[in-house]
Amino acid sequence: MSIDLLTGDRTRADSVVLPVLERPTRTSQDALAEEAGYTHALARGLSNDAVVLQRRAIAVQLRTRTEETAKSAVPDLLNELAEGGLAWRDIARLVGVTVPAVRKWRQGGPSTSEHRKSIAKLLAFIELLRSDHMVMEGASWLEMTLAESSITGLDIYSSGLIESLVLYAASVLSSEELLDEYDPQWRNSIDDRFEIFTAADGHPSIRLRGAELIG
Amino acid sequence: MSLEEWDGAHSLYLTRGDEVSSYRPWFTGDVFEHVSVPAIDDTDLAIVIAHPCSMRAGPNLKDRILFAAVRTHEATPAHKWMDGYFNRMPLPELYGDGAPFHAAWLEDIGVVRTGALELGTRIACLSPFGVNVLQQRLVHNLTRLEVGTSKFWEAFSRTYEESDLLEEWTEGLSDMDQAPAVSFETWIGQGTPTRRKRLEDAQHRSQVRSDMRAEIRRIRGAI
Repeated sequence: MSIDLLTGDRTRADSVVLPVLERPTRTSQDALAEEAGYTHALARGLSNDAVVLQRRAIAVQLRTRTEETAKSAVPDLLNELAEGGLAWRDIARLVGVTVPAVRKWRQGGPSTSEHRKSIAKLLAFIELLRSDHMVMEGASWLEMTLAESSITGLDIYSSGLIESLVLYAASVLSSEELLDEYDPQWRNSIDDRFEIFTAADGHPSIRLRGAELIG
Repeated sequence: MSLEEWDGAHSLYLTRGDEVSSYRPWFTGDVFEHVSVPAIDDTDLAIVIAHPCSMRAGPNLKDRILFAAVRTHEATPAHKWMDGYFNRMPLPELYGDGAPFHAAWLEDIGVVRTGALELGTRIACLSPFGVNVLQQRLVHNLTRLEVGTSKFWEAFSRTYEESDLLEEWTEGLSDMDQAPAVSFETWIGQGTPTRRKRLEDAQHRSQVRSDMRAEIRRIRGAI
């Protein structure tokens, strides 16, 4: 049946007939897609809540372990960090002091309670990586660069994103997600114009990438 | 790309003044008093700009090392050095917190006999970042080529690590070893690949450090 909408007016064309639009029926695949989308959104929300909860749990875990670790003398804490292979320069950086300050502590010089806590926290962090996340060589792990960047776990730790670093060790965060938290612009700082190579004298050198292909 | 900015004077220095350790081997970026660059008469402050790989022959310093003259400089904020003062290396608070600003003039350079260094006083050692900034500015001044500081670290961090290890070795054994640089050279050259070679890979450095510290304990325990 056609519906003539253009009536009651001498200017209307009586021959124009508009099509009939039948109401569409809801197919089973549409319903399935909608249910899948809803379930996915629900799962994503739960996942985000789980990560938030895990961060809180890690913070509590670290605080508890730090308090326990801080019972030891500062020189003993520093020796334990050193036996794990951390550089004194990196220990100083992660604790937030100068290298000479660490040297004084190694020799028995006084430290503040805050510094003692920072040293204990670093050791507790490395112990947590080993006991809960199978990172057996924490110092080596911290020195490795992340993704294609030149940023290391040492940089992340010294920025304060310690819980995020543990989440990365737990494979909850990817290296890219961790770097995004550290510096959303990290990809812009990658300079791949140059490469490192061993020169004829046996020493490392820098050249433009692809230069060895030029005759 | 601009040259690197720095976050406070402390980020450029490893040690200054009384904090400079006599156990630390001389290295790129070390600043000396009472050392003059030839043909430069207006200052007796100078900074080592020789590359770490070219300062030594084995465990011994070469006879002559490349330096740049250091002078006082108007206090200039970090961001202005990113796109200016290309012929200089900033050395803020060289003599300690609050001290006057200095800079190295990268065109006033020359070789100094290492014998003269023994008469001078080392007043500052640059941090790894400070050394990278120095190398970046030196390369840029000489060639106008901009290379990110992280690239210098990637290429030459092994030499910095080795310098740290030699300092720790010397500090740990100087009371019982007349030539710690020689014994260290022997130790770090051992192994297949050598420990020196293993330092080139960041993931092996912590093991080399642990091994060295164990070796120091073993030597001290044995004597």
